[in-house]
Amino acid sequence: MEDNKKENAVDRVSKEYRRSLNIWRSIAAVLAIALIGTGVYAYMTTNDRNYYKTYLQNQYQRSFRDMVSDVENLKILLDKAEVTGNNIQSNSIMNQIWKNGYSAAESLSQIPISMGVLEKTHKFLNQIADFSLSISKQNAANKLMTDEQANLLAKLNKMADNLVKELRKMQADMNEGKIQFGEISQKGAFYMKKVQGNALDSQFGNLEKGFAEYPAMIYDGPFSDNVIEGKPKGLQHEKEVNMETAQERVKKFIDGQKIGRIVEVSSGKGKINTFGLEAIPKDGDRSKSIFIDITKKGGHVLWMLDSRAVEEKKLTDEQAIEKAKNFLKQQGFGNLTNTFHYKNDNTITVTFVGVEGDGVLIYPDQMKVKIALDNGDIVGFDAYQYWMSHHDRNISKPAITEAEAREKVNKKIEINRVKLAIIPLPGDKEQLCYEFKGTYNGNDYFVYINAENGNEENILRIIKEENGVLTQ
Amino acid sequence: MLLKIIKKYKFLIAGIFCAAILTGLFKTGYLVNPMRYGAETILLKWGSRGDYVYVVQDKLKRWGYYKGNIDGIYGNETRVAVQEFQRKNGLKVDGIVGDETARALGINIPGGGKKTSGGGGGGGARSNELYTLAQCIHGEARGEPYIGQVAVGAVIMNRVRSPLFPNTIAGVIFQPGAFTAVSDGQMFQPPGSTAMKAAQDALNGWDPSGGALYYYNPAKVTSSWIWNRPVIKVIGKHYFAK
Repeated sequence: MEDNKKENAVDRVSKEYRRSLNIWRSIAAVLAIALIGTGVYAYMTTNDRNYYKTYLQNQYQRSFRDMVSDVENLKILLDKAEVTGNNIQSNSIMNQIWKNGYSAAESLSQIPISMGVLEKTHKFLNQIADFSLSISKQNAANKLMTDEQANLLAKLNKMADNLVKELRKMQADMNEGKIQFGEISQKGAFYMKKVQGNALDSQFGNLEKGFAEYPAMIYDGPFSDNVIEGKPKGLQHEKEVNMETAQERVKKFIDGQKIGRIVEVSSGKGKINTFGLEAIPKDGDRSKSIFIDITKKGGHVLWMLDSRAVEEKKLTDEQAIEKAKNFLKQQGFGNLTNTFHYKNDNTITVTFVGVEGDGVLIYPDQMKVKIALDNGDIVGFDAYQYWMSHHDRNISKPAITEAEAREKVNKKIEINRVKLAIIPLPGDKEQLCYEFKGTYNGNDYFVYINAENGNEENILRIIKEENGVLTQ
Repeated sequence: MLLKIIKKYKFLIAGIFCAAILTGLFKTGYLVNPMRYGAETILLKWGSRGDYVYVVQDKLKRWGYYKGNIDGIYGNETRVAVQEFQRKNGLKVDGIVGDETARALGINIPGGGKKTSGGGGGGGARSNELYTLAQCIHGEARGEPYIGQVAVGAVIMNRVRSPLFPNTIAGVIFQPGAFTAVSDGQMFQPPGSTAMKAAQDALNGWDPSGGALYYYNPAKVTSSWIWNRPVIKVIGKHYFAK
């Protein structure tokens, strides 16, 4: 009896023990499986991550190597360019430099270096490309490089030499595994934040050493230093105005009745110094504010934007363009004519250019007016181009006649209108041209023939969409 | 009782448990690519959702066609409103916002719209660039004042024209490390209508940044280098610099 009881108790204990053991076993099993699951998942993601990392490394390696070989080619071509004495040969070399320079700059921009580290290298590559293109055009017109241009080229060549040397050193380091792009590709991942690839930045930083005495590059191209650092010609002789005058100008520009008060929000020291003003409506609702920048010199409106939502369209394009014309006249810009326009979100943006003498179009003096198609309000204005280029021009009589110029236009084009126009040329230059508007193969074109020497200076294709007329 | 069940189905339960973890991970997006590419579809109809539905509803409400909530869901009320708008404007009354209706509403849906004349893809290229630019503006500067958004677009345009940077809009936007919203993938969302408008103004030449090549939010800046750039303008939270 005693024994039985005892056995029962033992039984019970062991049963309970077994039961709890089972619970623990089950939990352990579940956890083990979960652990395996997590493990498999971690393995998969690590694999994936390594795969992407390698892929990215390879892409960066490729960009880097592309750049090295482009720069090496560039160096050889520059050597040749220095010694060529023939236009045709020079033209071909210059075109190759152009291609190699741009392509090197493009590869460079794909390498993950922090902003600003390779600024000068990038500028060097883009400018050498741009510069050689301008010389190639000159060569095509049967002119060799001038001494000045040759000197500039020699200076650039020395810099290219240094660049090649540094790049080769880097490539060697890379082959030994001293430099890895992977470091920076993980920037942003929380566990790598502290390293942030500064090693790579300083390695690449060496490339910039050779550009300490980088010359001023003035030539006929869009990246020429005189274009980049250009001063506003239209404001040269103007006097500084004060805040009150600026605010008065705003009230004259926007219907003064609508404005409650004007506050200064973002005055700036850009290429053109401005008062950055916000015109707050009478009800004080700043979501309906109009923003407007007034030039400190002369107190002119540089640009204006009203971002109000535009209601249902009530005006035709023609009515809107008419409103824009009247507005400009009322603001004192008499000699302007509309050229292209583009519609978006129930607004229409119309481009105006200057007109001088008996209808000579002045394309560099450009203004844009944006009109709301619901009530004809002016909701945008931009005169940056105008103030950058506007100045008193002495328009000379064309040296060749219209008939002579017409001879120079490709015979395939059916000409339906001729005008005289001053057009901007690369390098911040202007040229009087005959503008022929014509059609070929269903497309409309503008062809510009130099009114002094009959050269074809530019061709624009007109793009007509339902949203507007543009050129390319 | 419970124990028995656990015992009997322990593998099944463990399986479900693992599956639940994995599903959770999928759901939170760890295992799937979080990026979304490409433009929104041109067609909005019953059941459509998203930014463009908001725009359509907002316009129709302001113009008195639509009485419902602006919720971004194209329901029956929206359909009826679209039909009425179409009837009044001499369009085909189908209750669907296609090319024609979108144009009548004054909405530029990128990639939409056929050209009436002229060969080549000039216009198409322009609207693709517009969309990419708008995405970048949306990712970088949503929540900023309108001119701040145009200014961010203008910085991108200024970079295209600068020898220090790539020479195309896509080249500038996708330069490694150039824009945070591109690096972390935030850019790959459909841009709102404000960003589209700002992108259009920047593309048309408006530059509230004063010719800036850089901008930064002084509260979030990580690189000390940027402090050395001369600041030319401050708009909203952004400093614009040369």
